[in-house]
Order: sequence, then structure tokens, then C-alpha cells
Amino acid sequence: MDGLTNSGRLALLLVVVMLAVALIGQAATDALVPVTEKSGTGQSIERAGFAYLTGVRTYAAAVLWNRLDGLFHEYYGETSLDEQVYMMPTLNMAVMLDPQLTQPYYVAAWVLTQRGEVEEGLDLAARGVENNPQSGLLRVNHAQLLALFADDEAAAVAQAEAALGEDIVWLDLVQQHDGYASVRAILQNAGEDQRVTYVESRLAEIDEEMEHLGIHDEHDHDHDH
Amino acid sequence: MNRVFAIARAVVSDAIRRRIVWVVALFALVLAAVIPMLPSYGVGVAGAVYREIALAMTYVAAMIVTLVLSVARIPGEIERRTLYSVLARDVRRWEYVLGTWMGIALTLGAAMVAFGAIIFGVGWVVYSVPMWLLWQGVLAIWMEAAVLAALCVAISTVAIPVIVAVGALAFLFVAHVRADLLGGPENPLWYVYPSLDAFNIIAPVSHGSGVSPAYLAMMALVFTGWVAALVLLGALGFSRRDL
Repeated sequence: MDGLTNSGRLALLLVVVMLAVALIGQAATDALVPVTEKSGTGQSIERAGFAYLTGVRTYAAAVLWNRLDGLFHEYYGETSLDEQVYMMPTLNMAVMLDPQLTQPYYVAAWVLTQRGEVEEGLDLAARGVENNPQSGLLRVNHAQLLALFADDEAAAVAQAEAALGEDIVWLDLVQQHDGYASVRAILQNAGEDQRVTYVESRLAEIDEEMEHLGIHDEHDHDHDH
Repeated sequence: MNRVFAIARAVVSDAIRRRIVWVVALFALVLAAVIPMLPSYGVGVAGAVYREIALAMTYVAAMIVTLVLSVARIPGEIERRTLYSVLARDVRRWEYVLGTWMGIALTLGAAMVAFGAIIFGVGWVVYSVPMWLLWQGVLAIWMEAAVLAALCVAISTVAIPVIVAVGALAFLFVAHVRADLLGGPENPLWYVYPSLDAFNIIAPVSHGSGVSPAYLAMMALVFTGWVAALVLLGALGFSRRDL
């Protein structure tokens, strides 16, 4: 401090004061942080840390998925799912980067179960539902795997029932139609005739809406055409 | 103050001459147009994901532009000896430091407005919803970028560009890992740790309903404190430098 002039000392004092102002503001923003305003989408973004980079992570996951989507539709379209292990590291990475990206859970869970790794496949499907509780695709996916590979009819029915909920979101009518058709099959096997009737009525409504909009489901999962 | 504004104007003119804002705007346009083409998010959060990615990219672009504009500004002027002609016109060193920061902050502001307008416009067109909250996020990003610019200007008064860049990146890292390092407010160092998390409002803007006016006011207080302290430190360092 000896080499400083009076104005230098004053400047240093001001620096300390302004840093204190910054820290007071910082404490105030901590107190005002809108933690209750996070959405209920299962998004677990935290305010602290590198939250800005979550957008970059989401972007990276999307890029990985886009790359893979083209690969397994165009280049490996004729290869059975259980042989498509090349995509597992990328699928894992995409899910790790963005837990809200639904498609990788669906594909990876099927690859695993088809290869005999049933427990891992079911775990992944369950994780997908946990992170995306409103995703109809993942609810039905989990229900199908439980019914086909775990022989757990009660759990499969519970998931299938959940997929019929009002809060469930579907990508489009085709996905909803296919999902409801799978739900119907699971409920039919479980002898839930009353619920099957309800699902059939919903399927008829969706069919009508698709007809009205000129949408055609190429897969025809419910074999009604 | 006229001399400060004149220096700020010179910094802005230089940035315009280097077409930095236009490059940023073009980058924003390409980026914003690409975001809606990402895989569909079937859980009803497409708009939120768009906002999140748009703000993250805005943040990355803002930090890059800040470093480009501020790391070599003062060392370059010293090396080219243009600084001497400025100081010979009765401009005080603190005025030069303040004017330089103001010019960079204004340029960043223009770049952020361009970026914000593009992501807002694309969001409106694609999702048919005017996402006004994006502007809160853009404002917070501009504030953080301007604080970083103040740090770069402060360091650059006494150091070479490489040290400025490393120092800026290190500061950015340290200022965003408070929660990871200290856990939470129960740690006694929590309230004295220098953090820029106040500007990090991406979660409430993307997935919630934004932040309150009180929060914005406190964010402005953090901004003022940081900028004033860093510009003062820069002025102090520059005044003691043997040119």
C-alpha cells in the first residue's frame, strides 16, 4: 500500500465496497431463486453449476440421436434389432446427455431384451418412464416388455393403464393409435374385458380423427384395415 | 465523460468494421432455424427445449464474442502504439479503461439484441407463441458477458492476451461451480464465494415462468458491483503501468 497515492487507496476501497455490493446482490438472488417454478416434466435441471450447458448437452444428445436415426433406418434397416448393438454406446450417451429424449430408451430397451439381457432392458425402460412419466410411448414400451419378457402381468397392466391417462402425451395420432393397440392386446391377455371395450372405443375415435385428417398408419397395429 | 464516450464509440466502430455483430446474427439465424429440426420431444416440452437450447447457444456465442472483443483490445493498442496518440489527447487512463469496457459492452448489447430477436422470431414462427421470457434470459447473458468483458479489460491492462484468455476462462469456471464445491448455504464460505450463478436463469426461463422483477433488480446489483470493482481494478492497474 506504500506505493499507492490517496486516489489509489480510495480506488482500492471502492473496489472492496463494490465487491461487497456484488456479494450482497448474490445473496439476495440466492434467496429469491425461483426453485418452485420448475416444470413438472421430470426435467432435473439445477440452477447452480453449469446449467447453461444443459442446453448444449440437449443439443449434443439430439445430434447423436439424429445421426443414429438415419443409420438404423437407412443402412441397417434390414438388420434385426438384436444385431444392432453398434448403436448401444451412442444410445447410452444420448440418454445420459438428455434424460428427456424419449426415443433412445425405447430402442435401447428392445435391443437389450432381444439379446437376452432382460433385466438391463427392463431397467432402462423403467428409467425412461421415471424420467418421462407423461410419455405414452415409454409407458407402452415398458408395459410390452413387462408382458413379453418379465411375465409380470400385473405390472404390465398397471403400465398399460397408466398409458391411457389424460395427462399422457403422444407425439402424434399415429403413435397414440399404435400405443392404444398395444395396450388393448395387453389388457386382452389379462382378461380385462371392460377396459378392452373402453380402449376399443378410444381407438375408434382416433381412427375417425385420423380419417378426418387424412392420416394413414402404415403399420396398422390393430389390424382393422 | 465525453472522452469516455468517444473511446466507447471507437470500440463500437472497430467492432462494426470487423463485422462481428453481423457474423453473430448470421450464426444465430442458422442456429435458431436448425433447433426446431432436432428430434421431436414427445413429452410436450418442445417449446421449453427450444428455449433451453437457444439460450445455451446464445450464452456460448456471447462468451466467444466477449473474448474476441476484449482479450486483445488494450494489448493490441499498446503494441500498435495507437494508445499513445489517444493518451496524448489529454485522455486519462481510467477514462480509457472505462471507455473500452463501455464500447465492448455496447457491442455485446447490439449482438445480444440481434441474437435475441432471431431466436424470439424463430420461436414465434415455429411454435406460434411469442416467447417473451427469452428476453429475460438474453438480458442475463448480456450482463454476465459484460462482467466477463470487465474482467478481461482489467487483466489486459497488465497482462498479455494469452494470460487474459486463460484468466477469463478460469474465472468463468470458478464462478459457476460454487454449488458443486461448497454444497449449499450451510457452508460458511457460501456467501463470500465469487459466483456468477445469479445470471444463470436458464431453468426458470426455459421451463418455468421466468424470474421476478425483484430478482432482476438484484441481478442488476450483482452486475453493477462486479463491473464497478473490475473496471476500478483495471484503471488502478493501468495507472501504475509503465508505458
